[in-house]
Amino acid sequence: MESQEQGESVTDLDNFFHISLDGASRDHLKQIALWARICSITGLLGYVIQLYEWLFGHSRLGASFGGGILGSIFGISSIGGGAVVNYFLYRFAVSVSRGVQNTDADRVNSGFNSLRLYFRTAGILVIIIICLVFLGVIGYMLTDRRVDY
Amino acid sequence: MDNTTAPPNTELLEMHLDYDGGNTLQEALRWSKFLSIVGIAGMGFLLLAILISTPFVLLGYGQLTPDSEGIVGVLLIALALYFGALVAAAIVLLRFSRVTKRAMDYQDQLMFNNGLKSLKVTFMILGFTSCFSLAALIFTLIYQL
Repeated sequence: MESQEQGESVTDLDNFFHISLDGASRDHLKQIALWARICSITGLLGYVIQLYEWLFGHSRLGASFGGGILGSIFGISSIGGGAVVNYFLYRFAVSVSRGVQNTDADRVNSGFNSLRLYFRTAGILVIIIICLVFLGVIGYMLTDRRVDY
Repeated sequence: MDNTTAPPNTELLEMHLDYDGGNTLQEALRWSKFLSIVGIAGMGFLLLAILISTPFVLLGYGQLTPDSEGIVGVLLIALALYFGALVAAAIVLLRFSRVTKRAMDYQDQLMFNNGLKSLKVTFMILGFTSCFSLAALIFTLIYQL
């Protein structure tokens, strides 16, 4: 049983080492890093503008939650969450472009770790948003029924 | 010098995906698959909501004035293009996760490169849409001032 597990782990290890980052994949990684950097910088700039609008302008961010403390929490969490996601994307872009330039596989692999964190954080945020939407729909339906009575 | 005559030892100097990198990439693939499926489903629900709510909105706001019809048409086309691009990005992201997962399972270098190409296209589409979003945000900010 143990030897079978060992055999499986060796096969897994073997699988990863058979995939190399050759010329074509390095070209793709360069382009990915460039576009990821564009995405992250524009995203971060967007969140800075939203923060400015929210603090000093007439932004409707959080107004759907009735403003006040709940609206503030929603505003801070949406801007903060988005900024964290874009920060991970920026880290991925920097690590991958430096790794490809210096032929440093460790850096590229750490870039993949940032990509994992980017997708994971975005996924968790999406799950939270879906839960909030469901709660909002249920709350709306309950208040609508009360008004009917 | 012909590349085909290069000694096999040069492969040792190439960059390889190590065990940790492979594991982290596999987790990234799982989350990207989830995000792409949620993105496609979310866009579908949004389209459904727009189709259902449009008659009610038109009833509420009455008919459009002849002058505003052109602007509304352009806005609707821009919105359709924007959401269409996001759906395309979600589909290509799903392709990235599926192809790269298969490449890592079957140790296929060509498939792995195709997966990276899909990720490149995804980020290209997302880059264009985020530039468009930023331009729209700056425009509204200037308009408010």
